[in-house]
Amino acid sequence: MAETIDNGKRQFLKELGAGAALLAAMPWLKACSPEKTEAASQARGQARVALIGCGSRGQYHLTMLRDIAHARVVALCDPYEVNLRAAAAMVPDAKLFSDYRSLLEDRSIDGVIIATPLGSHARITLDALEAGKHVFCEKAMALTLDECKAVYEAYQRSPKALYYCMQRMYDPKYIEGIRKIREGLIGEVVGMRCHWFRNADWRRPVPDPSLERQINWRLYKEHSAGLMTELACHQLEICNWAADKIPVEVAGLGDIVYWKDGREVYDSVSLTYRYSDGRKITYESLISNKYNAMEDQILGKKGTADLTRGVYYLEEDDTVSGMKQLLAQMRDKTFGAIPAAGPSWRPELRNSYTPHPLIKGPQSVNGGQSMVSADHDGSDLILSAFCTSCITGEKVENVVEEAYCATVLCLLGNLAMDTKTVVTFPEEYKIPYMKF
Amino acid sequence: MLTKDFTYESESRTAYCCAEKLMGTRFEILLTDIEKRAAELLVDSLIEHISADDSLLNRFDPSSEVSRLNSALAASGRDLAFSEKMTKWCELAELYRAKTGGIFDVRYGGGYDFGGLAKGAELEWASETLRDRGIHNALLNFGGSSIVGLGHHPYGDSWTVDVPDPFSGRTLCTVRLCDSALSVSGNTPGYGGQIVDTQSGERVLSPRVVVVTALNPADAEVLSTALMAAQCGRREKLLAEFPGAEAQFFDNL
Repeated sequence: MAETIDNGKRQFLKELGAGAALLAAMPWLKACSPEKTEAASQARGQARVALIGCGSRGQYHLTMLRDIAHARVVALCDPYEVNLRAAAAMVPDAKLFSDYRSLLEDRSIDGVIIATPLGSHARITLDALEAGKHVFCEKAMALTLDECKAVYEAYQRSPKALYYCMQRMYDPKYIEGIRKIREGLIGEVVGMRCHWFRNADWRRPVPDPSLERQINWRLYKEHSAGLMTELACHQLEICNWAADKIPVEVAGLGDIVYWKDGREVYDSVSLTYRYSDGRKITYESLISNKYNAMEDQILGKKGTADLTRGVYYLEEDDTVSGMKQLLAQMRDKTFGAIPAAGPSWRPELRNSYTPHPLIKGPQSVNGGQSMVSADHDGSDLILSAFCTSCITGEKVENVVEEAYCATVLCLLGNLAMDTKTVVTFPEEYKIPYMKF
Repeated sequence: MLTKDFTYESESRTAYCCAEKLMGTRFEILLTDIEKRAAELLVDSLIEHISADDSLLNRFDPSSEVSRLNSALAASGRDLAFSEKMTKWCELAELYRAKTGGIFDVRYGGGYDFGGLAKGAELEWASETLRDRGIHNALLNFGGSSIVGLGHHPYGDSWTVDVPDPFSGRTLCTVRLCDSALSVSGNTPGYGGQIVDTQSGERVLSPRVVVVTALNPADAEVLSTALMAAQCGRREKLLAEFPGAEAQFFDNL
């Protein structure tokens, strides 16, 4: 079991058929090369890491860390005793802290994993880099635009590695999907549609009212930027990959429609991000209906990539009925029902698109309903890559920039919704990595 | 204008042809275990025949015989003299009118409308033609609403067709065809009311679908149209007139 993630990494690039072209386009994957993976697997327990923030996501990182042979969790930190004890039960030998500043003074720690509420990401990241630690921080980068800028600039000056948990950068479905899109699989990309729907109140039980804003931090603006940073972050990143650009403006509307329980963040958002060439991302999220679950759709003139499910559809499939699927059956020597009947009185038949897989073999599909995790979504690989950096000292390419772009776009989306205006991407938050 | 897409797969010896805008819709045929040239010739002759009938029966084509008949009826209330072919179509239509107790009637509404019969009848003719030419396994699909399966799929014991709910896309039912026919009548989002309840005179507008299987494609099409038009109380009686036919009703979609 301890070998699982390293084995996973060995297979990962191999199965992707990652050659020079892919690594040039997605250089953060270089840490997953066979040589680096092998070297890392020899370095048992050498990455001494600490977890700051031992809530549900932090504990999920601990379960993944168990399977990263080259890492060892040496310290845990959380001001909330209940979480700290729960994490300590998973790692009994770890030193325990309630104040992260004390933890940062411990020279036996190489790197820290930050899984605290969003409002503290920037502060702890800056302090950790300052203290000479490598940092792995949960997304999003920060609660405010200024904090994002501060972290980005500190990182430019720091020799330490910084990662954000932008796990789709390590998820084969997305990697292969984007690669194929860039190769013209779905033709010219003309738009994107993303949504994330859940039906849950985001609220966790609170043993004492005084802990409400600490435990249910997601609901309050002093700690949280709501649905955008919690959910949209990943999806906007994918759209930018597909567009190979950053949007120039955003408009949107946000409301509290259903969960009128004193929360401050919207429970229903609907936004449009526009690129300079007119292409748009339509983004929706609400958490009082889950029928539409989660989808990341890249729309092309010739087809559609549904990256969440790791499949693509071709427009030509819809102009030909299920009858033509029979040809594929003849070729494959298979027998199946075809959707070929309907009360059609017009030439256009209501046909079904044939899903084509983006990668071979079984795929993990994230239904988007968990507040904590999704299996094999790339989180394990990016965490493993971070642990490798803790040993080698190597910085990873593009991850920080991607996190910055995605976070800033989320925060601009919030600004657009709060002010009910079309927000243009501000000059002062542009970085060289961005293409408009 | 008729456009044809012919595909032949030599390894599986399968021919597929799709003709757009034949009788106002898409006509598709899949033939198995056949040589390419033979398939091309056969398919061309089928389409040519159906096209010729389309020129006769297409009420959206002002030059068709049925359009001229309808114009004359509208103007003078009288029929023009029929061509020999049109006479045969009218005789067939009359058979079905009688069989359905007047529920199926191509003359309802003051003009001729063969929309609930033509495709089924063409499939019947096509099936007979294929059999005569020694083709025993084939699937023919006329617009999705009339389908005939001769024999079976090479890797199965029938041809299996799903009928999706036009409102939600979910599969309503799956039909196995083996020397039998399927017809689907109903309303779709954005298109409905083309079938009239001949008893009440009202257009059938509710979101529903009828799926009929029968040995004969013309029977299947007429029956599916009639069952859509008929009030619930008459359904059983209608079905009894078509031995071997079965119907599934999806009301309130």
